[in-house]
Amino acid sequence: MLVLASLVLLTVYLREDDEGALHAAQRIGLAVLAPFEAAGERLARPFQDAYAYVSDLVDVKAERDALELRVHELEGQVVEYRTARQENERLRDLLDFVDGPALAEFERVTTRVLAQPASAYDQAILVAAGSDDGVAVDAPVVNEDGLVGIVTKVAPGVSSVALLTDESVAVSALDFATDARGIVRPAPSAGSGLVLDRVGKDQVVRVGDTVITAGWRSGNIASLYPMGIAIGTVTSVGQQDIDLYKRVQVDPFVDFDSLFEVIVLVRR
Amino acid sequence: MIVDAAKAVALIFAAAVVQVSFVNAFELAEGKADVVLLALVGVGLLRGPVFGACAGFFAGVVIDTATFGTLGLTSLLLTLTGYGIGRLGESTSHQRNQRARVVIAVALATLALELGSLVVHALLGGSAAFDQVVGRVLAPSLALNLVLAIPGYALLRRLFPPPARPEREVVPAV
Repeated sequence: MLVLASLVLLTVYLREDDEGALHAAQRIGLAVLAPFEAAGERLARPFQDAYAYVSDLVDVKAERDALELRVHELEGQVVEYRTARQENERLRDLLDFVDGPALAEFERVTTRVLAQPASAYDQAILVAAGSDDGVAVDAPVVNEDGLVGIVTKVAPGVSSVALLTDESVAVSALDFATDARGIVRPAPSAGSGLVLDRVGKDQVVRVGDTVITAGWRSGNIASLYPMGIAIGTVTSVGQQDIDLYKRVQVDPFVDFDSLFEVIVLVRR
Repeated sequence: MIVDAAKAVALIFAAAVVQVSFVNAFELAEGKADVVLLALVGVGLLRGPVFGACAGFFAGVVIDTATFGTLGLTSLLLTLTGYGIGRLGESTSHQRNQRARVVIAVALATLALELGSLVVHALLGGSAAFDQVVGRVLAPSLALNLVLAIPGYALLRRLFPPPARPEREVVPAV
């Protein structure tokens, strides 16, 4: 009887749209559960911090040395980029250039993560910002490291965010150094890794290059993601004669296992 | 019976909230402990298959609601798991070694739930990788659940004391 009830629930839920009766009931249930989850998350926070602290201690020295080197490199590049940016802005003004969606078109809603992914199949988190904060389905979600995912379900005070590692998520992206374009997807059977798919064999991608969102615009249609959000670093590039495209592995900047706060980008 | 049901509802609700907002944040390798499953195993072993199935159904609804997941999916898996553990509890109730019984039940429930999830997600069109689940998630999850199994069951035995066995009438030999 209960198995039958579960099957009926499952079938109706999958067949109805977001405004259906079961979805509405679920949103009400979630509104009831959200305060309990928020309380649980607050209680868990000190333990999570302690756990993250101990985990980070393992590679802290090697990471510090690598970061010091990186800072010296980046300091030199900052001056160069500032000059290029000023020149770029001046030229855009001159040409009246139409660009893809930019970060300036979005408002930032900073929010807590209420629930982490429940299982290997469920690459989604629950965040404490919902329709009453202006969050809508398909809003991009980022954190200080880069792109986290996209909002897939919204209720008052709560939203569900599909992570980049969820198989339903695909992002137009480009290699920042070479402008090679493709689509970032979760790597099949590679844990939290990503792949940059649909990169033609004639395009150049190098190990160590940074992959960012492409943020294209074509007439009235535009990418859901603003241009220039960091996604990850290319870790391997390969191609075979029988393949149509290059095989590009990307290591994401975001640590999807320890997300505590995220920023939802809401269109102005 | 009603008191037991109320206690089970409170227990499963608390376990689901703790699982979603607390336990899921802590990973060992890629595995996570499953306190809802442990609670379900305890309830199933101590109160039988019907009680286990009801507790599993309720736990599934709460988890699917709390995670904004696909309603009915976790209920289906946990209903079957709860019923199966209840049957196992009935058929092994005469066993003297309670610890071995609990450890076996937790191990079987973890395996059944992980593999059942794999099958159901595959049927629904998902492509969760078999090698990832079996190779990297299953072993650490199983280890964590087994570590928590005995102390968890001891707590649940206090909450759901096993029904007292009727004493045998001793008839004096004539």
